[in-house]
Amino acid sequence: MRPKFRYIAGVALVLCACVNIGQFTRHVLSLPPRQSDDRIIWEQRLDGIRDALRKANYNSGSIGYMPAGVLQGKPRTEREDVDWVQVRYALIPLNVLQDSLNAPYVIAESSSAVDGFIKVYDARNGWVLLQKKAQR
Amino acid sequence: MNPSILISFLAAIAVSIVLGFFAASFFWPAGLSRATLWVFAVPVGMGLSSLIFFVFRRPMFTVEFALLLALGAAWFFRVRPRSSHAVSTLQLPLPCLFLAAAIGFVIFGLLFVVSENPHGDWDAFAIWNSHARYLYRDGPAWPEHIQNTFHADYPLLVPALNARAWRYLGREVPETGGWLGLVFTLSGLAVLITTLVELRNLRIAMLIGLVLLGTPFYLEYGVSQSADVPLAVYFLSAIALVCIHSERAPGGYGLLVLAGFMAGCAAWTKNEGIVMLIALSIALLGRRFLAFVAGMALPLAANVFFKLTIAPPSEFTLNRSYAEIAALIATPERYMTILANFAGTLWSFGEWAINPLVPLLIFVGLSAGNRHAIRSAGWLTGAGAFTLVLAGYAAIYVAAPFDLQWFLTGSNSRLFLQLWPPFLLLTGLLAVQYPHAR
Repeated sequence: MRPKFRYIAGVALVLCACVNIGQFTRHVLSLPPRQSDDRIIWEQRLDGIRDALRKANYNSGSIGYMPAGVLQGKPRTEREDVDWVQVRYALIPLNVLQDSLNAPYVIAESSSAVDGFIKVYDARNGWVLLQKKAQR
Repeated sequence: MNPSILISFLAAIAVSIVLGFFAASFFWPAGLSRATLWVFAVPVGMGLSSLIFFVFRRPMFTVEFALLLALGAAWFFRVRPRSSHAVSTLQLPLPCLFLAAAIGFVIFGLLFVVSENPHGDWDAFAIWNSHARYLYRDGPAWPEHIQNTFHADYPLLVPALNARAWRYLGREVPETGGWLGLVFTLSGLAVLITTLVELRNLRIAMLIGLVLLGTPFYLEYGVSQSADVPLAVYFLSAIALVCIHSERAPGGYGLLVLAGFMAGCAAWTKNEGIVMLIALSIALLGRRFLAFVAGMALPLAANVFFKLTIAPPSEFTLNRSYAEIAALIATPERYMTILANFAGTLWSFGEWAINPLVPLLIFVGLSAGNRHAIRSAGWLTGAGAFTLVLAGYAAIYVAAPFDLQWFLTGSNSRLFLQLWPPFLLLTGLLAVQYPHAR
């Protein structure tokens, strides 16, 4: 009797595994496409800015990060919080200062001039690289 | 995907595994199968490669290849095992072929996950891959600048392996983190199955292996590029080696040295690994403890150096007073909340369509004909360490400086995932070897 029940339990385990692998497969098939991944979007969005920083030989230190809303004086949104983490990741090893203009370079979501800064690169996707004007 | 990228990645993995094989063969008892040694060579090699990258960085290739040559020569002239048995002599019955087909199917799915989600989940890119980028991009300034990331105190086994892979590739390829995760996911499965074949029988090994393979969370999280599955593999490997030592080579020391190395690598993978290392040390006290300590020395030294000189203080210890911790410990509701959460998580953490726990326990209950396994010192040590780790996790929750419910919800599934492969091993070992089941 015991071997028979053991056999049934073994078959149940195999069936469980098959159903669970099916569950995993369903999850895999429901994944969003690679092109919609935020990290990839941000890497591409900041490609030109990274190159401009490299050309300026700015490979270490702090860099400001200013989304449009914060630049206009509005409170930071949750989305902007998440975006800051993605920007941080893309720009390693630079230290990306959230909502800050207090750095030699600033990445800003702005089409107009920002006081005290000159535009050194326009990514043509809403984001620009600004450099702090030298103080007299 | 450019074929040269894949070839360079496979070369990086092959060098790791061969290094692991040569290094582990010095401690491998003559009577045990070489196939089993190859299985344990994967986590050993990964651990060694990570340590070499962390310690040497720039001359990494020189050190790796010099070590490979030296260990290879020593193996060829002195260590080369004389015989091999067990796995190599097995005929492949139907369950084996079925499992192989299931593994092939799952690998295809996992590669697709990596391709669609190359940067991994939130923790992966915000913590582990960020650390890897600092190691790779930042030259000698990384110890200072890595402080700018989240959880800069987390150990570096996984980030160092990822950065090492980029060195082999000559550039950053985000998928390497997921591919490394795939190697660890399969390595955990191989360690579980091989240990059960070595100590029990093929049929039990196949069934228990299928249970792990049929755990969607283990598969998904394995390639999500976080460090929980690598940690699970190291804890599993340490317990497996202690059990093999106890049942197959009780006279030697070698397997306990390797078990110590695995425990040290667990601590070098995630902070929870420190709990595992302490738990295994307590469970092994008095039984050739020095061999275990000798094995853990190298990864532990790297971890202590990292914690003392580079890592910032952990958020668990920062700005905390004894009075505050004592107040948390003296709150009975916290214990009830943790117990209730543990019970709920046990049922759901695997993200199963059907939870295999009940048929598994019935199967093992009906297979456990005598008390042979429970009398084994290895099984008792493994079960003791497992229980201590679980108790340690509960204690950390009790004293944690965060909202308890939030903390449990955000982390408990991952802690159970870390313990799932060792649990399956210890459960599988309870099953008795029936002659007809061969």
